[in-house]
Amino acid sequence: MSTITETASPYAESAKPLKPKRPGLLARIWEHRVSYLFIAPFIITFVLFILIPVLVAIGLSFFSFNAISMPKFIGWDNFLAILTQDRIFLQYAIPNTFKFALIVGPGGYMLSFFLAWLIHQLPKAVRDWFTLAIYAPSLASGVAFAVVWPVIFSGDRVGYLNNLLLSWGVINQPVLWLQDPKYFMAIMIGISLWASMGVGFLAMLAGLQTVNKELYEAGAIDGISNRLQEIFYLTIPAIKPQMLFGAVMAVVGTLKAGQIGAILAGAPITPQYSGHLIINHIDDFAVIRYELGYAAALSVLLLLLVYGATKFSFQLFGNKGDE
Amino acid sequence: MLRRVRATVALIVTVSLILLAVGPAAASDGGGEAGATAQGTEVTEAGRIDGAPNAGKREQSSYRQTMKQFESKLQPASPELPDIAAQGSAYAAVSDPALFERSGEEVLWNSDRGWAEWNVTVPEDGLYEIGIVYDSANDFAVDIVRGVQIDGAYPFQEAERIRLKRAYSHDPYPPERDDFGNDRRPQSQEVKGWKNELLADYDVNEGPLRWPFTKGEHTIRLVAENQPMKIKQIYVSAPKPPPSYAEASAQNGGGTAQEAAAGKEEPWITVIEAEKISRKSDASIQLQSSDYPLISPETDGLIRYNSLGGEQFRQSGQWAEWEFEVPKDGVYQIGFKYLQTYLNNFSAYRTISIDGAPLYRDMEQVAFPYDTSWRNLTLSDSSGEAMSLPLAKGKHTLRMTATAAPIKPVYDGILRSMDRLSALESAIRKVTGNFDKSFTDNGNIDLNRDWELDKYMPDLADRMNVIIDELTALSDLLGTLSTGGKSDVENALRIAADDLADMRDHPRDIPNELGKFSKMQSSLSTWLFRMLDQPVLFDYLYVAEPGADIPRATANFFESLGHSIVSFFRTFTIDYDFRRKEPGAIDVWVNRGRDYVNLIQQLADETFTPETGITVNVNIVPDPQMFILGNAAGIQPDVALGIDSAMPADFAMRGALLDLSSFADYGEVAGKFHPGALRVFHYDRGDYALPEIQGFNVLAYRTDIMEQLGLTPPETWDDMYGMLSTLQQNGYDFYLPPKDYMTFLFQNGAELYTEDGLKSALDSEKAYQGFRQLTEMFTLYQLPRDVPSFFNHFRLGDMPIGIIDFNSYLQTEFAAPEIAGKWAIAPLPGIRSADGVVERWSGGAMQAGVIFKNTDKRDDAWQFLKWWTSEATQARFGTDIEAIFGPEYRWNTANMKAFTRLPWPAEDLKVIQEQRKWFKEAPQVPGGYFTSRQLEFAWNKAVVEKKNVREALEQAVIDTNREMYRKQIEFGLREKKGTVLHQLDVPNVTEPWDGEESP
Repeated sequence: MSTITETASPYAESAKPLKPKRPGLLARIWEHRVSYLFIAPFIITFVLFILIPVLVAIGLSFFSFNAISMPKFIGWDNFLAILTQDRIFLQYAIPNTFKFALIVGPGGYMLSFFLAWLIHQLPKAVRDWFTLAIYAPSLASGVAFAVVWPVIFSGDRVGYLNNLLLSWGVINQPVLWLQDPKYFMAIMIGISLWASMGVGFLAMLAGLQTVNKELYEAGAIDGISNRLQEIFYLTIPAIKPQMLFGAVMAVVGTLKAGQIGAILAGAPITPQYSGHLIINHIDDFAVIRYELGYAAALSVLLLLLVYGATKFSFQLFGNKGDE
Repeated sequence: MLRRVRATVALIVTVSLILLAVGPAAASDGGGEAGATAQGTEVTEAGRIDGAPNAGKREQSSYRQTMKQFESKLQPASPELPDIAAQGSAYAAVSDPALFERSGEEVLWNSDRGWAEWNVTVPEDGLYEIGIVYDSANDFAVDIVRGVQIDGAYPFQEAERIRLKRAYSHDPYPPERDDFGNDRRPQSQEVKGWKNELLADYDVNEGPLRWPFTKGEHTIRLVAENQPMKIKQIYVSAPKPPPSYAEASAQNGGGTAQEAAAGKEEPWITVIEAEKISRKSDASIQLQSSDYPLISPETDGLIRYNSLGGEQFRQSGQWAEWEFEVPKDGVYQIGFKYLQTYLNNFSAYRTISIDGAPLYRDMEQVAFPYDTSWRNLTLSDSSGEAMSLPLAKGKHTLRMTATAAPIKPVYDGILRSMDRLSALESAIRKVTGNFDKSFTDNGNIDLNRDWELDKYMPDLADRMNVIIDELTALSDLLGTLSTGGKSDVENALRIAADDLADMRDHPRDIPNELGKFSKMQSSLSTWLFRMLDQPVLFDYLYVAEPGADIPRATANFFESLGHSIVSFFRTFTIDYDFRRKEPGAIDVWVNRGRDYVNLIQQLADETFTPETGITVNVNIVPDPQMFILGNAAGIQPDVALGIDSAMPADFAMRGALLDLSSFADYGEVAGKFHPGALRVFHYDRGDYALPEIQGFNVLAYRTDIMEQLGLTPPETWDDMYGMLSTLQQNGYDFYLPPKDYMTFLFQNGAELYTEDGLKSALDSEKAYQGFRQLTEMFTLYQLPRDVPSFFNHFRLGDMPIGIIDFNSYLQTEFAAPEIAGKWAIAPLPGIRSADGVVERWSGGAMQAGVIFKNTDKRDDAWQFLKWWTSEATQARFGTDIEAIFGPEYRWNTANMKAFTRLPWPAEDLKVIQEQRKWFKEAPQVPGGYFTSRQLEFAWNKAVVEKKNVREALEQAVIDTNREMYRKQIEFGLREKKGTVLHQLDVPNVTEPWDGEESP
């Protein structure tokens, strides 16, 4: 890279005499101003919509703020309350989130990989159609949550699931699926799995197509005897970057989920907190109780959680050193 | 054991066989009254409106059937016969002379009850038409409805409710413009004056109805159903049906067309804008602003009322009139530019009459076929050739009436099938002894037992075949009416027929899938809902000499493209926010639709500003969250309207609102509102809002079904338990909104919070009683727990009684014409107190107006809020909004006096007023949102998980208290350690209040 610049750049002449003195930071930025121009759109939106809000949220988490009067500084009190007094958080939100995230995250992730691999085995002509069919739920999920699923799980006899089970004789009476805390979480998990084939899935599918065919031939010669070995020893190492991307997306996606419970229950709070996730808890405090400082503190905790989980994914799939 | 079961079954079977032998419908007779069997066969034949399992024993036959009956016996009277008239004041008898007031030849019938009779002497046997010269007697924007009896009996079912339309015109017209250059929707002003109409029902027949008379003296009795009226004359006249165009032109020697074609000058044409009506029958027939290429006139990107109708011109019997003038005697062609994208693959129908009557039979059912773009339709005869209509020089009136007559046979057929289905269902239920329809559709039945149903009901297959055949035939009939392509209804009918055929072939399975019947019925009924609607949107009419160039209706590609491009560039030049920003004015943010907001602005400009000199900017807030976000950003209005009931207290706790009780005349102003409503806006010795609208809960019931079951609406819940067994035994249900806990808590004398507002009061014994009563409704008494649409069940009749709120009331009143007059409302059942008064406490949704604390125009804002909630303004707003948009926009104002000035049906108003006396909503305290959440959890535990009721409630109390405690610390009512620093005051309301004397 640098060699090319030196030979090709018209400034090469003038740059040479300065070489002994290392230029200052600002000067170097100025020198590479065109590159900064290129990343500007991302940096500006990132700072504006991610970095600043996150910093503000962290700041706000040390205040008590009710959306109307001036925020009041209260130090660590919010965090203290979360960890010592918030029964709903400890009793429902945390266990529910973990249960949900552990099943939907890795579950959806493995499912994505498995389906991507499966589709990859198909002839090219039909592959795109299957891809579309599997990817579509994650696109349409918002609408589908609101329209399709409540109908399927409707509590009267006309609900699809009830109707089917009744006609098969599995149940004798309609079940109030979306009101019964026993089923609520399971339904949430099921639907989320259905909708989890998102960008991660696409990335893995794309990754699979980049794997060099010769690798497999070489593998076969070197003694790989079945498909499973092929996957473990060749495919997965070959598409590690895509696997990482998929993992991060899955982790962040599941921890961020929360909307689904509210949609299924038709109210911001799920029946007996059975589907109460951290995000719902944040919503509850921010929009219903107007305790924005407390909600900010909760979001900070969630952010830490996401950060930790992402780090863990890097541990699993990241490039150790420069491979 | 087994033997006893067999014996019982045998007994049931024998009984049902006997009943079956008498007539199919007799089996559907739940009570088993012997008198009912006589009409047995009649019932299934009659096009019954209600699809209830065993409704209506003494049903009338429909108009069509009656006419068929008379077809051979009675001829239409000969057209030469003169009219036989009776003066309005010359009535022969009335129900109660006090209701009638004669003056000259007219009579004022100042009531919507009672009846009046006139005598007429008919010269010869035959079918006649009845005409009436009438006028309205008040300004309510709803139809006048009368039943018509001949010699003391309704000759057919439709005679029970004959609608007499009022007439309206637009005022002002052309419409005024607002500050942004948009048209302001003109009001519909009723036009008084005698109206001479032949009695008609455009649902069943596009012409006037015909009435059978024999030679001699007869009485015609009008029975009041709705609205007072004035009557000048009633007359019986011989039908004068128009000739068909083919006949008429044959008589004229077919010369008309050539005559015109021979004209030497340019053929004459005039275009009449559809929006420029001279009269219309309903306030709800609306002007529309349509932005399409080639529309006339252009909208220029603003709101320009340039078309008429659409969804707002769809009910049969609604009409609109236009005036036009032709330059000379001659023949003319008449046509319309229309858009009918509403009825997928169907036509919408209109009857066109000119100067009072259709000229030819071909104008009685003019079909406007489905099309996705604007089309021209010139009135044509059956062969598709444009009709040349002879018109004399001068002014003419064209009236267009929506008619559903062509589709009505299908509608009736579906109803008939639904009736048969339910009769069949209840017959099967009698055999199997399974009457439990409440929640579990298979109910108390043993699923593993099977029935040789075809043995017990030998005619089972035949009865099912009748229904299958009918459904298939209807579907075929629809196929012929369609404009190409299969319609959704057609498919639905076929699916139902297939399902039935499947059941017929497997009769053994039927008893275990009885739910299929109600499923079929409900799917059929969803199609019924809008089947009779006939929406069409009109741009203009044209009257032209044959051969004239008719302006093109459908835009070509380039015109459409050009239109889109111009619209796009307009978004740069027009500020579509339409925010009014007059400096120095008070800012009012309203969380309602544009229509409401515009009217508020208009009223304020008209009466408030001239009176007080205060200018007002009324603007829309689409999302209530904006108040919070705006607050955080420091953008605040002075006054906000349309605020939900929890928000004022929430904002007040945080110090964002002005305490209205700080104004000296607050007491006087608040005296117009119910204390049970005001207490919602009370927080810590301050009052922060005035209610604008206030809902109510009432008990709605089907009079026909209740009467037949011998039931009366329950006064108390104990009465309701008493009637429940009768209802459920007959396969009916009672509807109770599942989570309406407040009604039961308040009626049992419980309160939600202690007097100091610091603790939940649900740990009282009374609260436990109330909550247990609510949960037992769904456990012990098995009321349905999940009813997505009570409205549909109510129309269908399988839930003939239930509790509805204001919106469902309006829906039932205006969207269910087929049960009009067959239902009534009553106050909620209550609990009888020690001194014998039935306490009916219940709540209702509210919206309120508030003033923000940061306003620098406190007094102006208060003046505005006072003006807005005053009796005069609220009554005016209520009537105006109905005049503009129709009676569906009923304004349920919270102002108790203004409420009575709106056009409620007199009977209903009495009931609603009685119920509103007992209005009580939940007070708001910090952390109060946990009460409803925890009660819902408790309901869930008690009903769904069948846990102990008391435990569930106690957990709710503990959790609620915990949250309240936390919130009290936040708001400084408690110290961190828990010592109470400050006590709140929660107003209690224990006495009903009718708005007369101040509390």
